[in-house]
Amino acid sequence: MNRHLPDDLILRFVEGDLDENEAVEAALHIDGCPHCAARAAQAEPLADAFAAFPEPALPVGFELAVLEQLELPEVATAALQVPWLGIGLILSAALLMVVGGEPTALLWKLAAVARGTGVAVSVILNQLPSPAIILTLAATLTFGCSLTAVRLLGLSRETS
Amino acid sequence: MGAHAYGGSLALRLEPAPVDEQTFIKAALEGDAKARAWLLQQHSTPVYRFCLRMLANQEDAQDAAQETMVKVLRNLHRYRSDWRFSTWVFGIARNTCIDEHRRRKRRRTTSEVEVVDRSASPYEITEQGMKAERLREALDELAPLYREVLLLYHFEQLKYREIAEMLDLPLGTVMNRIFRARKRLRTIYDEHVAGGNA
Repeated sequence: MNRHLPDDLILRFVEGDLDENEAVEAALHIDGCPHCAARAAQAEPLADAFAAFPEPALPVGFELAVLEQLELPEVATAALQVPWLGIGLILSAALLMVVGGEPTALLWKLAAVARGTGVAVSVILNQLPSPAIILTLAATLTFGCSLTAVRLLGLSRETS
Repeated sequence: MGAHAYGGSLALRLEPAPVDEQTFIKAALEGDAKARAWLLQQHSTPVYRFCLRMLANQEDAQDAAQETMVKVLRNLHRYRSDWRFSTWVFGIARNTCIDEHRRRKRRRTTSEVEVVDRSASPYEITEQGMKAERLREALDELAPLYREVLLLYHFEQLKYREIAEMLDLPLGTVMNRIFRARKRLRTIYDEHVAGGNA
Protein backbone atom coordinates (compact mmCIF):
# COMPACT_ATOMS: atom_id res chain seq x y z
CA MET A 1 0.00 0.00 0.00
CA ASN A 2 2.05 2.93 -1.28
CA ARG A 3 -0.56 5.72 -1.32
CA HIS A 4 -2.07 7.28 1.78
CA LEU A 5 -5.12 5.59 3.27
CA PRO A 6 -8.50 7.08 2.26
CA ASP A 7 -10.41 9.03 4.92
CA ASP A 8 -13.22 6.50 5.26
CA LEU A 9 -10.72 3.68 5.82
CA ILE A 10 -8.95 5.73 8.51
CA LEU A 11 -12.29 6.35 10.24
CA ARG A 12 -13.26 2.69 10.08
CA PHE A 13 -9.79 1.77 11.38
CA VAL A 14 -10.10 4.13 14.34
CA GLU A 15 -13.61 2.89 15.08
CA GLY A 16 -12.42 -0.73 14.90
CA ASP A 17 -14.82 -1.56 12.11
CA LEU A 18 -12.32 -3.23 9.77
CA ASP A 19 -12.02 -6.98 9.47
CA GLU A 20 -8.79 -8.54 10.69
CA ASN A 21 -6.98 -8.62 7.32
CA GLU A 22 -7.92 -5.01 6.52
CA ALA A 23 -6.92 -3.93 10.03
CA VAL A 24 -3.51 -5.62 9.75
CA GLU A 25 -2.88 -4.05 6.34
CA ALA A 26 -3.91 -0.60 7.61
CA ALA A 27 -1.82 -0.99 10.79
CA LEU A 28 1.28 -1.91 8.77
CA HIS A 29 0.72 1.13 6.56
CA ILE A 30 0.19 3.44 9.56
CA ASP A 31 3.34 2.06 11.23
CA GLY A 32 5.39 3.16 8.24
CA CYS A 33 3.53 6.35 7.28
CA PRO A 34 3.72 9.29 9.72
CA HIS A 35 1.13 11.22 7.65
CA CYS A 36 -1.56 8.53 8.00
CA ALA A 37 -0.56 7.90 11.62
CA ALA A 38 -1.21 11.58 12.35
CA ARG A 39 -4.56 11.45 10.54
CA ALA A 40 -5.57 8.38 12.51
CA ALA A 41 -4.55 10.09 15.76
CA GLN A 42 -6.64 13.16 14.85
CA ALA A 43 -9.64 10.99 14.00
CA GLU A 44 -9.52 9.38 17.45
CA PRO A 45 -12.60 10.67 19.38
CA LEU A 46 -10.55 10.96 22.60
CA ALA A 47 -7.67 12.79 20.89
CA ASP A 48 -8.25 15.93 23.02
CA ALA A 49 -8.23 13.95 26.23
CA PHE A 50 -5.06 12.09 25.18
CA ALA A 51 -3.36 15.41 24.41
CA ALA A 52 -4.47 16.89 27.75
CA PHE A 53 -3.17 13.97 29.78
CA PRO A 54 -0.57 15.36 32.20
CA GLU A 55 3.01 14.15 32.14
CA PRO A 56 4.04 12.81 35.54
CA ALA A 57 7.32 14.11 36.91
CA LEU A 58 9.99 11.61 37.87
CA PRO A 59 10.16 11.30 41.69
CA VAL A 60 13.07 13.11 43.30
CA GLY A 61 16.10 10.85 43.76
CA PHE A 62 14.80 8.21 41.34
CA GLU A 63 17.97 7.88 39.28
CA LEU A 64 20.20 7.95 42.34
CA ALA A 65 18.16 5.12 43.89
CA VAL A 66 18.59 3.04 40.71
CA LEU A 67 22.35 3.63 40.70
CA GLU A 68 22.52 2.63 44.36
CA GLN A 69 20.58 -0.56 43.68
CA LEU A 70 22.98 -1.34 40.85
CA GLU A 71 25.86 -1.25 43.30
CA LEU A 72 24.24 -3.93 45.44
CA PRO A 73 25.09 -7.56 44.63
CA GLU A 74 22.53 -9.18 42.39
CA VAL A 75 20.51 -11.78 44.22
CA ALA A 76 20.57 -15.08 42.38
CA THR A 77 16.91 -15.63 41.63
CA ALA A 78 15.17 -18.99 41.74
CA ALA A 79 14.97 -18.92 37.95
CA LEU A 80 18.74 -18.53 37.73
CA GLN A 81 19.46 -21.20 40.31
CA VAL A 82 17.20 -23.96 39.02
CA PRO A 83 19.25 -25.05 35.95
CA TRP A 84 22.43 -24.97 37.97
CA LEU A 85 20.94 -27.03 40.76
CA GLY A 86 20.79 -29.90 38.27
CA ILE A 87 24.48 -29.51 37.50
CA GLY A 88 25.17 -29.20 41.22
CA LEU A 89 23.26 -32.42 41.82
CA ILE A 90 25.35 -34.34 39.29
CA LEU A 91 28.63 -32.95 40.64
CA SER A 92 27.55 -33.67 44.21
CA ALA A 93 26.48 -37.21 43.38
CA ALA A 94 29.91 -37.82 41.83
CA LEU A 95 31.64 -36.33 44.89
CA LEU A 96 29.57 -38.35 47.36
CA MET A 97 30.17 -41.56 45.42
CA VAL A 98 33.84 -41.03 46.18
CA VAL A 99 33.31 -39.84 49.76
CA GLY A 100 30.55 -42.33 50.62
CA GLY A 101 28.54 -42.48 53.87
CA GLU A 102 25.36 -43.87 55.44
CA PRO A 103 22.39 -44.02 52.99
CA THR A 104 20.12 -41.67 55.03
CA ALA A 105 22.83 -39.15 55.73
CA LEU A 106 23.89 -39.38 52.10
CA LEU A 107 20.57 -37.91 50.94
CA TRP A 108 20.93 -34.89 53.23
CA LYS A 109 24.52 -34.38 52.16
CA LEU A 110 23.50 -34.69 48.54
CA ALA A 111 20.79 -32.02 48.90
CA ALA A 112 23.06 -29.63 50.78
CA VAL A 113 26.02 -30.02 48.46
CA ALA A 114 23.81 -29.84 45.36
CA ARG A 115 22.35 -26.53 46.46
CA GLY A 116 25.73 -25.08 47.37
CA THR A 117 27.36 -26.26 44.16
CA GLY A 118 24.38 -25.11 42.08
CA VAL A 119 24.47 -21.60 43.48
CA ALA A 120 28.25 -21.47 43.13
CA VAL A 121 28.20 -22.60 39.48
CA SER A 122 25.36 -20.18 38.71
CA VAL A 123 27.24 -17.31 40.26
CA ILE A 124 30.57 -18.12 38.64
CA LEU A 125 28.96 -18.35 35.21
CA ASN A 126 27.11 -15.08 35.73
CA GLN A 127 30.35 -13.42 36.83
CA LEU A 128 28.92 -11.63 39.82
CA PRO A 129 31.65 -11.49 42.43
CA SER A 130 30.55 -10.33 45.88
CA PRO A 131 31.26 -11.15 49.54
CA ALA A 132 28.15 -13.37 49.65
CA ILE A 133 29.42 -15.36 46.68
CA ILE A 134 32.87 -15.78 48.17
CA LEU A 135 31.24 -17.00 51.40
CA THR A 136 29.07 -19.45 49.46
CA LEU A 137 32.07 -20.82 47.60
CA ALA A 138 34.10 -21.04 50.79
CA ALA A 139 31.26 -22.82 52.59
CA THR A 140 30.84 -25.30 49.73
CA LEU A 141 34.56 -26.03 49.61
CA THR A 142 34.77 -26.36 53.40
CA PHE A 143 31.82 -28.71 53.41
CA GLY A 144 33.32 -30.85 50.67
CA CYS A 145 36.73 -30.94 52.35
CA SER A 146 35.19 -31.81 55.72
CA LEU A 147 33.24 -34.68 54.22
CA THR A 148 36.39 -35.99 52.56
CA ALA A 149 38.42 -35.60 55.77
CA VAL A 150 35.80 -37.41 57.86
CA ARG A 151 35.64 -40.24 55.36
CA LEU A 152 39.43 -40.54 55.17
CA LEU A 153 39.70 -40.57 58.97
CA GLY A 154 37.08 -43.31 59.13
CA LEU A 155 38.94 -45.34 56.51
CA SER A 156 42.26 -44.98 58.32
CA ARG A 157 40.68 -46.14 61.62
CA GLU A 158 39.11 -49.18 59.89
CA THR A 159 42.42 -50.18 58.32
CA SER A 160 44.34 -49.72 61.60
CA MET B 1 10.30 -13.90 35.18
CA GLY B 2 13.05 -15.94 33.60
CA ALA B 3 16.26 -14.37 32.48
CA HIS B 4 15.47 -15.36 28.90
CA ALA B 5 12.51 -13.01 28.90
CA TYR B 6 14.87 -10.18 28.06
CA GLY B 7 16.38 -12.01 25.13
CA GLY B 8 14.95 -14.37 22.56
CA SER B 9 11.27 -13.77 23.21
CA LEU B 10 11.61 -10.10 22.40
CA ALA B 11 12.82 -10.45 18.85
CA LEU B 12 12.05 -6.88 17.95
CA ARG B 13 13.96 -6.64 14.72
CA LEU B 14 12.16 -3.56 13.60
CA GLU B 15 14.05 -0.33 13.61
CA PRO B 16 17.59 -0.03 14.83
CA ALA B 17 18.08 2.36 17.72
CA PRO B 18 19.57 5.76 16.87
CA VAL B 19 23.32 5.64 16.36
CA ASP B 20 24.01 7.78 19.43
CA GLU B 21 22.04 5.46 21.65
CA GLN B 22 23.88 2.43 20.25
CA THR B 23 27.15 4.15 21.10
CA PHE B 24 26.00 4.77 24.66
CA ILE B 25 24.77 1.19 25.01
CA LYS B 26 28.12 -0.15 23.81
CA ALA B 27 29.99 2.17 26.17
CA ALA B 28 27.75 1.19 29.09
CA LEU B 29 28.44 -2.47 28.34
CA GLU B 30 32.14 -1.71 28.54
CA GLY B 31 31.61 -0.25 32.00
CA ASP B 32 31.36 3.45 31.19
CA ALA B 33 29.46 4.97 34.13
CA LYS B 34 28.57 8.14 32.21
CA ALA B 35 26.99 6.11 29.40
CA ARG B 36 25.02 4.13 31.96
CA ALA B 37 23.82 7.35 33.57
CA TRP B 38 22.83 8.69 30.14
CA LEU B 39 20.72 5.61 29.38
CA LEU B 40 19.13 5.90 32.81
CA GLN B 41 18.32 9.56 32.24
CA GLN B 42 16.84 8.90 28.79
CA HIS B 43 14.54 6.06 29.78
CA SER B 44 13.58 6.67 33.42
CA THR B 45 10.76 9.11 32.73
CA PRO B 46 8.97 7.05 30.02
CA VAL B 47 9.34 3.91 32.14
CA TYR B 48 8.01 5.63 35.27
CA ARG B 49 5.15 7.17 33.28
CA PHE B 50 4.21 3.75 31.86
CA CYS B 51 4.42 2.06 35.29
CA LEU B 52 2.36 4.81 36.91
CA ARG B 53 -0.38 4.52 34.33
CA MET B 54 -0.33 0.72 34.50
CA LEU B 55 -0.37 0.47 38.29
CA ALA B 56 -2.23 3.72 39.14
CA ASN B 57 -0.24 4.07 42.35
CA GLN B 58 2.82 6.27 42.78
CA GLU B 59 4.66 4.09 45.28
CA ASP B 60 4.16 0.87 43.32
CA ALA B 61 5.03 2.66 40.08
CA GLN B 62 8.26 3.99 41.56
CA ASP B 63 9.24 0.52 42.78
CA ALA B 64 8.39 -1.08 39.43
CA ALA B 65 10.16 1.63 37.42
CA GLN B 66 13.32 1.42 39.55
CA GLU B 67 13.31 -2.37 39.30
CA THR B 68 12.88 -2.08 35.53
CA MET B 69 15.82 0.29 35.15
CA VAL B 70 18.03 -1.93 37.32
CA LYS B 71 17.10 -4.94 35.17
CA VAL B 72 17.72 -2.94 31.98
CA LEU B 73 21.19 -1.84 33.06
CA ARG B 74 22.13 -5.25 34.43
CA ASN B 75 20.93 -7.07 31.33
CA LEU B 76 22.31 -4.78 28.64
CA HIS B 77 24.33 -7.71 27.29
CA ARG B 78 21.03 -9.37 26.38
CA TYR B 79 19.91 -6.44 24.24
CA ARG B 80 20.44 -6.90 20.51
CA SER B 81 21.26 -3.83 18.50
CA ASP B 82 18.82 -4.59 15.68
CA TRP B 83 15.91 -4.07 18.11
CA ARG B 84 14.60 -0.66 19.09
CA PHE B 85 16.03 -0.12 22.56
CA SER B 86 12.96 1.63 24.00
CA THR B 87 10.72 -1.27 22.93
CA TRP B 88 13.02 -3.72 24.69
CA VAL B 89 12.92 -1.50 27.78
CA PHE B 90 9.11 -1.33 27.72
CA GLY B 91 9.00 -5.13 27.43
CA ILE B 92 10.89 -5.36 30.70
CA ALA B 93 8.73 -2.62 32.26
CA ARG B 94 5.58 -4.47 31.28
CA ASN B 95 6.78 -7.76 32.81
CA THR B 96 7.84 -5.91 35.97
CA CYS B 97 4.42 -4.26 36.23
CA ILE B 98 2.76 -7.67 35.93
CA ASP B 99 4.98 -8.96 38.77
CA GLU B 100 4.30 -5.83 40.84
CA HIS B 101 0.56 -6.22 40.26
CA ARG B 102 0.75 -9.83 41.53
CA ARG B 103 2.78 -8.77 44.57
CA ARG B 104 0.29 -5.98 45.28
CA LYS B 105 -2.62 -8.44 45.11
CA ARG B 106 -0.91 -10.60 47.70
CA ARG B 107 -0.06 -7.63 49.93
CA ARG B 108 -3.46 -5.98 50.03
CA THR B 109 -6.67 -7.54 51.21
CA THR B 110 -10.00 -6.39 49.86
CA SER B 111 -10.57 -4.39 53.04
CA GLU B 112 -7.47 -2.34 52.30
CA VAL B 113 -8.78 -0.70 49.16
CA GLU B 114 -6.80 2.41 48.46
CA VAL B 115 -8.58 5.63 49.28
CA VAL B 116 -8.21 8.00 46.37
CA ASP B 117 -8.96 11.69 46.74
CA ARG B 118 -11.50 12.42 44.03
CA SER B 119 -11.98 16.07 44.91
CA ALA B 120 -11.26 18.42 42.05
CA SER B 121 -7.72 19.74 41.82
CA PRO B 122 -7.05 23.18 40.32
CA TYR B 123 -5.93 21.37 37.17
CA GLU B 124 -9.24 19.55 36.87
CA ILE B 125 -11.20 22.78 36.99
CA THR B 126 -10.15 23.63 33.44
CA GLU B 127 -11.94 21.85 30.61
CA GLN B 128 -8.74 20.17 29.45
CA GLY B 129 -8.03 19.13 33.00
CA MET B 130 -11.45 17.54 33.33
CA LYS B 131 -10.96 15.62 30.09
CA ALA B 132 -7.60 14.36 31.31
CA GLU B 133 -9.05 13.37 34.67
CA ARG B 134 -11.93 11.47 33.04
CA LEU B 135 -9.45 9.73 30.78
CA ARG B 136 -7.32 8.77 33.78
CA GLU B 137 -10.37 7.34 35.55
CA ALA B 138 -11.44 5.48 32.42
CA LEU B 139 -7.95 4.04 31.95
CA ASP B 140 -7.87 2.94 35.60
CA GLU B 141 -11.13 1.06 35.10
CA LEU B 142 -9.90 -0.65 31.95
CA ALA B 143 -8.65 -4.24 32.23
CA PRO B 144 -4.80 -4.29 32.36
CA LEU B 145 -4.79 -6.34 29.16
CA TYR B 146 -6.48 -3.46 27.33
CA ARG B 147 -4.78 -0.66 29.25
CA GLU B 148 -1.26 -1.75 28.35
CA VAL B 149 -1.83 -1.79 24.58
CA LEU B 150 -3.41 1.67 24.63
CA LEU B 151 -0.64 3.10 26.80
CA LEU B 152 2.06 1.62 24.58
CA TYR B 153 0.48 2.92 21.40
CA HIS B 154 -1.03 6.29 22.36
CA PHE B 155 1.43 7.45 25.01
CA GLU B 156 4.71 5.66 24.39
CA GLN B 157 4.59 5.83 20.59
CA LEU B 158 5.29 2.17 19.97
CA LYS B 159 4.23 0.89 16.58
CA TYR B 160 1.54 -1.75 16.19
CA ARG B 161 4.17 -4.25 14.99
CA GLU B 162 6.35 -3.54 17.99
CA ILE B 163 3.46 -4.14 20.39
CA ALA B 164 2.71 -7.43 18.62
CA GLU B 165 6.37 -8.48 18.91
CA MET B 166 6.53 -7.45 22.55
CA LEU B 167 3.40 -9.42 23.44
CA ASP B 168 4.51 -12.29 21.20
CA LEU B 169 1.13 -12.27 19.46
CA PRO B 170 0.06 -12.10 15.80
CA LEU B 171 -0.60 -8.54 14.62
CA GLY B 172 -4.25 -9.39 13.87
CA THR B 173 -4.81 -10.49 17.47
CA VAL B 174 -3.19 -7.32 18.76
CA MET B 175 -5.30 -5.15 16.46
CA ASN B 176 -8.48 -6.83 17.70
CA ARG B 177 -7.34 -6.20 21.27
CA ILE B 178 -6.59 -2.55 20.53
CA PHE B 179 -9.97 -2.04 18.82
CA ARG B 180 -11.80 -3.61 21.76
CA ALA B 181 -9.71 -1.55 24.20
CA ARG B 182 -10.51 1.72 22.40
CA LYS B 183 -14.23 0.94 22.31
CA ARG B 184 -14.26 0.02 25.99
CA LEU B 185 -12.28 3.13 26.92
CA ARG B 186 -14.70 5.38 25.03
CA THR B 187 -17.70 3.71 26.68
CA ILE B 188 -16.27 4.20 30.17
CA TYR B 189 -15.21 7.76 29.34
CA ASP B 190 -18.68 8.63 28.03
CA GLU B 191 -20.23 7.14 31.17
CA HIS B 192 -18.03 9.43 33.26
CA VAL B 193 -19.01 12.42 31.11
CA ALA B 194 -22.71 11.53 31.50
CA GLY B 195 -22.21 10.99 35.24
CA GLY B 196 -20.42 14.33 35.55
CA ASN B 197 -23.16 16.20 33.69
CA ALA B 198 -26.01 14.55 35.59
